[in-house]
Amino acid sequence: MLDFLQFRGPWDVVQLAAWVVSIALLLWMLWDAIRVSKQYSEDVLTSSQEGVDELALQQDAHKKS
Amino acid sequence: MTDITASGAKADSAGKPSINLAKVLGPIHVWALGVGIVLVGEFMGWNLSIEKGGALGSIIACWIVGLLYTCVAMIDSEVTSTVAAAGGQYTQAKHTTGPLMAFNVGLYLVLAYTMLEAADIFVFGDLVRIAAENLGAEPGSVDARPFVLLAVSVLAWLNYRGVFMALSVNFLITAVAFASIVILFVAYQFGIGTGQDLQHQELGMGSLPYGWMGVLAAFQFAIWYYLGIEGTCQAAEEVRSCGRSLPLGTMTGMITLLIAAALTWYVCSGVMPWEYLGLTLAPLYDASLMTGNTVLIVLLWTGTVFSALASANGCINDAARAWFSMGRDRYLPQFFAAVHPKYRTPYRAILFLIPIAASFGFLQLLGPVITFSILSGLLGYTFMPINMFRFRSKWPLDTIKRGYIHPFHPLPSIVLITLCAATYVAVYLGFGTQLLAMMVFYVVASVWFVLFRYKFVRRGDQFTMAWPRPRGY
Amino acid sequence: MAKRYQPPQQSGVGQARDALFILVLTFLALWIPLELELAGAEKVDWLPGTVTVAEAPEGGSIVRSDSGLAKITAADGSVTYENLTWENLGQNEAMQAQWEKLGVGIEDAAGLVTKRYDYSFSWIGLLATLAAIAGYFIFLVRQSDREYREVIAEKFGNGS
Repeated sequence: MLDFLQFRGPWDVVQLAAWVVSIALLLWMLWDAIRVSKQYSEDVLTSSQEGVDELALQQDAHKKS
Repeated sequence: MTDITASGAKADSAGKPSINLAKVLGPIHVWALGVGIVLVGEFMGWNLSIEKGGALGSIIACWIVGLLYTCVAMIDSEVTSTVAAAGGQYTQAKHTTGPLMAFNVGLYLVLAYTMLEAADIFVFGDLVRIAAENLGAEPGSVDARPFVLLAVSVLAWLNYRGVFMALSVNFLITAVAFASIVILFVAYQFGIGTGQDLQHQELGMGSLPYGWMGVLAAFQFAIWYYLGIEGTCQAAEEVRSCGRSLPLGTMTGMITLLIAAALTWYVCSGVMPWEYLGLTLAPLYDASLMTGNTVLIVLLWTGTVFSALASANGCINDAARAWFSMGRDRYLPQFFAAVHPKYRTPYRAILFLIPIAASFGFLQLLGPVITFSILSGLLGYTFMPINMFRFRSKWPLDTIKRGYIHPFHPLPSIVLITLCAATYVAVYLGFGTQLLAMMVFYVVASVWFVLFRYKFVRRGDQFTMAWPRPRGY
Repeated sequence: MAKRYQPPQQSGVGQARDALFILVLTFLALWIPLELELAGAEKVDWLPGTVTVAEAPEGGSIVRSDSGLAKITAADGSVTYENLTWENLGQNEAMQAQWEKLGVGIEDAAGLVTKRYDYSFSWIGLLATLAAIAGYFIFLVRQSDREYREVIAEKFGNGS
């Protein structure tokens, strides 16, 4: 049952490293996301607006001209 | 509690602090996003069109479907050079056609990209396993799953930490993958280190084993030559001078793909019998193996792996942008509309989609996953002519400034809708009733949206462009 | 200015439920075609030349070509060939050389060469599918338009 504990060659190490690195990255992102959510209010985090940029300004200029 | 001084937070006109996506990308990033997603299709997948219609049938289908995509790119460029928003076609649909259409287009985008991503990382895991076995690991002893998970978590982490880095990496690895195709072509064409000639004539390239019916059937997988190039629009909100960069990046991307598709087909059909070519996993890699030249073999293995990673990376980017935009309009839970105050990425959307792609990559569902990806893409292309006709009639050319105006309207739209219809026939020939089962998904989702979801959406606020009132409304 | 529509605030539980709904629906859409074994074009036996098909004694099938090549499929699905040569498979010398370079022997190559798609289809099925897709888009455009008018009225005010 504990086959996976058996050392069969260098590829086992590579596989293990892949598992560890992936899980570490995933946990880091999760931790960071939770930290950010606690630090900032929901209103600020979801405050981005669509179409706020120089194109909108161009349109305004175009309308005036 | 609220730290307004955090980088990226700035006050809008009403004095409210707002965090927006970072506007940092240039044309090369747009190119990298578009080509990066698609190029994997030249390393694997396109050859299924050879199985459907023979080598000649595949290249004819490749050109005709190339025309379909050129129409898509032209229409996209015109509308997007005016709509600078992260949702790409989703945002276009919202402004030209209406909410329910937009919801569906958003789902096409998220699903087409997430499914493609799942296929990419699955293939990446498999390639690592194959390499390990070639390097002497006992067959069957290497598990592909940790590498599948590694690919998705590293790429998601890159995307989480900032779009500039993620797409700069994509530019590099996409360029290497593209170069590997060109180098293989040059090597074969001039007989440098390949030890054999291209033999199109002798391998029966000129025949159509299934006649014209096979050419039509080949449309289904000829889509792989280009699937995802329209994803460039997702970057609109993050591109500096969007009106110029987007059309430039998209059109050069399209040209790159046409070249890559032609070279790939030319090399592969010149060295392998079509019956083999139609079924192999990685045809370009096979073509390099046949040379016995270690440099070419390593190069093409790298190109294949890089293309799979670039594609997955671009898909994470695009799927998250579409999911984020739908959350921002409350088409989906608002929770997903959050932007990271430091990295300025839609971090919750990125995180949420990781386990989905990974689970599709783990489960052995490659067949339906690919079907779903192709069908979702195709439904999206069918929307483009509707989009264009409504855009031009609601806002004729003199009413708003466009960064790019595509020529010959309405010809591209008419060609596009005709080619889409032909491709549906091809997909029906290939997938049969699976196609209907998947249509049921979109119908159920639409009904759910109308009955249970749309009530959470603010009406007038969804229309965000500074355009005048549409004509006729 | 039209009266502004104020949407209800959605609770966290509601948001989680909606996200879950889309997820489950996606998994179902992937599983159901597999479970129902819905499939598209299938491959059938094919040989170069003029072909005759016969029923084998124990429930299998035999396909013979006028070149003498025969493909015999036993009831348990195992396949054997008679008079199997590259020439009979319609493979010229160049093709033969490439098969060998790919490391594919004649038996395996025969397995690939002697299967071809059957593209016969039912017109009714095709037309029904195309009609379903067209109907779906018509529904989308009409329902969207209804919602769109509301959006425009709220954004730009009633009447223009």
